[in-house]
Amino acid sequence: MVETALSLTGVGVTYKGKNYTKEALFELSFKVERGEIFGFLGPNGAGKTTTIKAILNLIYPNTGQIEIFGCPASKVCARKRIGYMPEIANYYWYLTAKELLLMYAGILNIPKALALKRIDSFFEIVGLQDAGNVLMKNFSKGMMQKVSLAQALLNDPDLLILDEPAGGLDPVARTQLRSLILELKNKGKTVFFSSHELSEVELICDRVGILKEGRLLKTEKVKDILNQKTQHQSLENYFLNIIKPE
Amino acid sequence: MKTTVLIATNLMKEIFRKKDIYVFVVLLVILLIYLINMNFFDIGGLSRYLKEIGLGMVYLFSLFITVPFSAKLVGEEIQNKTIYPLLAKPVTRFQFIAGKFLGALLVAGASFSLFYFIFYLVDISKGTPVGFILYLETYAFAILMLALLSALTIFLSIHMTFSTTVTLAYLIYFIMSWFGASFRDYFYNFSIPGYIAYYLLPHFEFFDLRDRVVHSWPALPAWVVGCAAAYALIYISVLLYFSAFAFKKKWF
Ligand SMILES: Nc1ncnc2c1ncn2[C@@H]1O[C@H](COP(=O)(O)OP(=O)(O)OP(=O)(O)O)[C@@H](O)[C@H]1O
Ligand SMILES: [Mg+2]
Repeated sequence: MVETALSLTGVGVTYKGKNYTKEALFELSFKVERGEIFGFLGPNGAGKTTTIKAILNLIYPNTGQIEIFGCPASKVCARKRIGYMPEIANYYWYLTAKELLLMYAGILNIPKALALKRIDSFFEIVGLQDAGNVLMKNFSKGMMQKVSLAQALLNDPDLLILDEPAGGLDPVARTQLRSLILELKNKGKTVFFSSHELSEVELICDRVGILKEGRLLKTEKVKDILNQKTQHQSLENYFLNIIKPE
Repeated sequence: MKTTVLIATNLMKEIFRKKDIYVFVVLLVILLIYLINMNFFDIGGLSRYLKEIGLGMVYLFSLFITVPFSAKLVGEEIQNKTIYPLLAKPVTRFQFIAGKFLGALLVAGASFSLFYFIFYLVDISKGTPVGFILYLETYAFAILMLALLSALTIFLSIHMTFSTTVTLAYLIYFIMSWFGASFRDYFYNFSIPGYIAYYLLPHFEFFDLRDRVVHSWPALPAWVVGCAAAYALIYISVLLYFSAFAFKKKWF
């Protein structure tokens, strides 16, 4: 039997403020199996980031359960085997990229030598090798994004959660990101990511879930979508068809 | 523990690199030099006032550093969105709060140490020095006071905006410093509930030994020091616990 990397069962999230309540997720249930690349799609405001925050215990679902490798999301153990890249990448401006990553490595209990090795080789790949000792206030958006990816990969996570990882990356970096994700898959890792880049998603994902207004409308294998001979030849057509208003 | 220390040391690095803290340092050093040059130290009575003014400035500047810096720690992390990747690591919210507190304390402690050391040098060279033990006690008590103040400010900052937090923290500090001792007679009228209520207030004035230095009174006995330290540590732990508890309920 395949191990389940991530499972959500009946997850509902309601944002409550002083003058508003916003139901952002309704009865969300799905599983991501180990080794899968799962694309989480949906129009702006559908609830993708909300789902990811709930998985990371940054917000708390009003109903339902979330488990990461069998550990409830509310427990610290759930966050030991994951890497997370937030939607908006911003890190401490007055630290250097290397200092930041070494701090995270300490929190993740990674020996310093190993951490440095990982940092250097990652920086080499993404072209940050000269920026390691520069204060991050001087970083461009794309450089921040790369640091963000680096911190997500630091602990060699079994489950990588990326919230729109391609934003701000140049074409070269995007290609690198794609091959990196595929490489992780070959190593048996699981990747869960939200994206609006459907052509990208089509190339790398095993399965996609489509979210609209807080409801999961479909989860489907990309292979099956592309094999459907009927109206859709591409993921994009399929997506637009699913989310179009009744 | 390691996580807490890592959060704290990085916070300290950041604050010292941001450099806005140096404004206070430079200003204080200038004021102290100005005081020394007033050349009043050889007139017996005036030396006491200058001691009072000098120490007053040292405490006031430490207050101006501790309160705003503690008040913005948590809010800034949320505003800058740096909290997301951090809390997505195996970090508990209590560790986060404890790390921020420790970082604030290191910054406040380092600045106070510097200010106090300058005052000490001035006092032993130009003023009327007191016993070394009293200098030490005064120093240790001030650090405890700053720790208590920082914990209180962090606690407030979880519940309210930056400006409200700062205002309220200053208000509580000054009310307790000025009137704390006189609350005693009032509260003690109510026997046990009164004693409890009295010690539930954050008694910053317990930790202010400036008068002893100014008037060259003797140092405090060890048991008083011990009791005060215990009071501060318990108070700080409770404040941090409640801060973490409230922080746990927050959504990001
Ligand atoms: N803190 C909050 N308070 C109130 N409502 C919120 C909050 N955060 C998100 N929402 C609402 O929840 C809904 C889902 O937002 P979410 O950020 O999850 O969307 P998304 O799918 O990630 O969109 P995008 O593609 O633009 O990133 C939106 O309607 C949004 O306005
Ligand atoms: Mg989003």
